[in-house]
Amino acid sequence: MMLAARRRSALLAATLAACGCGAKTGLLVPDVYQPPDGPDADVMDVADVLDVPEAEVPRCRPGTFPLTERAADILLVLDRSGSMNQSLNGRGGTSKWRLLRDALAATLPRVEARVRVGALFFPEDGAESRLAACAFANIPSVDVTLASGTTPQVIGVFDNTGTGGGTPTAAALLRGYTYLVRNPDRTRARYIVLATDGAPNCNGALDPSTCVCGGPGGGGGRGCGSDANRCLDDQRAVSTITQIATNAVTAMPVFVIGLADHTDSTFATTLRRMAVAGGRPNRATGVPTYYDVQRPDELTAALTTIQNEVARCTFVAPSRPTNPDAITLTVNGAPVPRDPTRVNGWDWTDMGFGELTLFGTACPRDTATNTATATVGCD
Amino acid sequence: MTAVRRALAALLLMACRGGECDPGAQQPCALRLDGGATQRGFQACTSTGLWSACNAVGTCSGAAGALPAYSRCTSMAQCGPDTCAACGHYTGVRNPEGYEVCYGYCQADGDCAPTTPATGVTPRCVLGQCTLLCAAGATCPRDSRCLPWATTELVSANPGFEGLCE
Repeated sequence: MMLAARRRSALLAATLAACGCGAKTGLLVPDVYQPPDGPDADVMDVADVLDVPEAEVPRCRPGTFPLTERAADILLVLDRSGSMNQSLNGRGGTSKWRLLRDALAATLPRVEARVRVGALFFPEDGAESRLAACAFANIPSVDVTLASGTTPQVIGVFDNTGTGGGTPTAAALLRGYTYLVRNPDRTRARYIVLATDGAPNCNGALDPSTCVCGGPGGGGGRGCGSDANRCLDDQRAVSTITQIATNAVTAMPVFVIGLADHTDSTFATTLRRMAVAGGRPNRATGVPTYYDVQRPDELTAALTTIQNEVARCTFVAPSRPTNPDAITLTVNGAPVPRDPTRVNGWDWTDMGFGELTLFGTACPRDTATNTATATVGCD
Repeated sequence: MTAVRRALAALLLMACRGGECDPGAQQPCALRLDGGATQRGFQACTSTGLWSACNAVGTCSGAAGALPAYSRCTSMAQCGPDTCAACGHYTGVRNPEGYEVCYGYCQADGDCAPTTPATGVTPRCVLGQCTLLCAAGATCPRDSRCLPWATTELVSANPGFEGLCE
């Protein structure tokens, strides 16, 4: 059946290439560019009227300024795969899917007071068929679009759809990222929160005879028979998160919440690597680098910690120094050092917008609102 | 007509009418913008076997009043219709002045070529967003400038390039 499906896909692709339903670009790009003739030249002429006056560009201003909290958006990327229907550690009882649903229902209303929330579930609903189990196209589409007060919509997806299919974690993260960058909001910081049981798969390019089997029933053993889509796809998942969190165009932190089966170290290891790659690992001592959830209250605590970091410890400086170190910071009256390693202290997280974030102990947990001021020097 | 030809014809009709499709498949499409300009794009087949909406790729041609790609901007509207480009800043360069440019969306590096003169720059499609890597001595398009990398990691990851045009 799979072979027939692949043949159909190949035939479809060939047909489309021939029919020319749209255009394809395969431009070879020279090192030196010249303006094209024709319509683009007209666009350039019109655009000259809209040139930005140099005087409007903000400059460094020396002095001491209060910092304002930056508005934030969180996109939840939530695992709906078949393995989420199992209970944690195989103990029976509440499924991971239900655990996630109940914890979000309890926590999101509090999170929403400070941040807008959207949600993307993976795989797609109705992905039970073998062909669709791993299909997850990179299109800017999510289940719940970013807005205030979206808890009912998020919980509604839990209540109206069920688990099933594979775990295309990398593809889901890419789709979520694509949605965010194609719906830009320059005034808001954007974050992705991934909640999964740590068994990414759905990579047809892996060798099923030698891979670690990460699909339902795979158990982390070697070899997935003839089904590459059940192979553990940890490398691509980690690589995708690294790209999202560190790319030079629009870097976006990824928090990782793991509903991991502690009886299988493969999945916990994958979660740890993903959390570090996302740039916002759990810094608490004595716990994994991901936000480990074994009980509903742990998920509530994880979401609260993430909310604090996102909404209460991310600020905007009204004046940005040319030298990134020509600024000193106080929070609630106490000086806070800069820490580029982002363990304990503050660091620039989007200097082009003047955004800086407090990490670790520099982000107080016991105050409702933090008061931060910055003293800026200009060269 | 052979069986293969009949199959091709059926698929052609099905695909171009937006009917059922194989999950995971992609096909090109076109968007018509206000003012009559068009923009190419792609659509993907969802798990339910239906084609997604058309998602724009590359810069818009003929969008009246829009700034060319990689021009400095201060608002989204300056960059044309939403599908054409975003006005924003890149997070990976030192940009204390907060300069922003119009940048488009892409699937491949070739989608990101500037439409105005530039030298020493290399277009890149980074996770679906266009940017221009700039080498030492580069001339960026229009009024954008080559801003230096913000981190040592980005310096190491992009040998031969000073930063991005912004």
